[in-house]
Amino acid sequence: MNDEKIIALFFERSEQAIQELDCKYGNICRSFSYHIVNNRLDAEECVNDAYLGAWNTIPPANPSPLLSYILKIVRNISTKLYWKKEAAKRNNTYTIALQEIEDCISDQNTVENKIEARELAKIIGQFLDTLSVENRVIFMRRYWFSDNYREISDRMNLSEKNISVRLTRIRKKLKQYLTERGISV
Amino acid sequence: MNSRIFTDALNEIDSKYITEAAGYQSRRKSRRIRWFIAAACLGVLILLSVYALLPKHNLAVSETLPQNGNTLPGALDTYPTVMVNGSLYEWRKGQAVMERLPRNSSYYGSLIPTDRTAPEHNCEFVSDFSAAGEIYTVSDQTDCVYLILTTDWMKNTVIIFDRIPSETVDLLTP
Repeated sequence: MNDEKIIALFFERSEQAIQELDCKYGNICRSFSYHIVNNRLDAEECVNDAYLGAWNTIPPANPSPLLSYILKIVRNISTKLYWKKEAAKRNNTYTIALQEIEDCISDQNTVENKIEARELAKIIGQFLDTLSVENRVIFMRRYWFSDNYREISDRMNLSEKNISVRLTRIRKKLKQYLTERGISV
Repeated sequence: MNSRIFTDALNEIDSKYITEAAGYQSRRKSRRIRWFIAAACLGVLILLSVYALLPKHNLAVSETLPQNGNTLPGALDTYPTVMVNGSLYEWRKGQAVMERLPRNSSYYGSLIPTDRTAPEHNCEFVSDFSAAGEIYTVSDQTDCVYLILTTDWMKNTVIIFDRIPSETVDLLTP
């Protein structure tokens, strides 16, 4: 079933919408959530919560594309759970990805220099626009989707070493980009 | 917490980047295909190298000899054989035809066709087809001689004849 039909079911308030959504994107959502929470049951719970979130927001929201929308909800819920339950362990893919990026964003931690997440998102977006499509996808797969190097290398048809080198350069570039704008979070 | 803010910022990022990363299909050839192509190129390179390193005959050899099928005429009955300097030489098995005689070859004599089962005198030639021609030798080469043969199916063609080992000669001679 295509996205438009699934959204139409949401608008009709038909519970079949959730079934169709799960049928089409359930595996992607669960795998994505698992990368963050590192626990099958937690991932399942996050995805179910995301479905509920979608149910509550569509309508009025009419997302296009639907996949990005539902993944965003899954990510929000999964990261919340991550901070709540997993931050202390620091042993999963998402933690490793965060450790990598921390060097770029952790110089001065003063109150005046703090920046709103929304504003930082805008600047990261501007930074992403300066990258090539390939590097942008690599960055997003690593830090948004929390894919590991092997998964990224399979997707991009590049070696893991190449992915690692590219990510190092992107992080360095990001650090410079943020520093030039006087941003430290 | 720094990474917390970064996470929150990523949660707020424009959906277009998510959509792009979610649906991205690499246009690069997969690594398996690249390995396969590299292996195939290596294979071709090895074959070319082996071909280049093969010992070359100083004269080109043609395989376009007109024959009856894949067998010399009469070869199943009596294999073409000639006697030179008291030794028997037979039509080379395999690529026997040469485009021209070796430069240092010298005339030995004319063929004397015979009805015997094996040649008994120098220049005698045994075969199941009628042939005429001349024998040429190379002074420091005793393992083969060269015949310029004319038959009803080829004309003035240089054929290599290889020396028959003595133990085989004993079986051939009556």
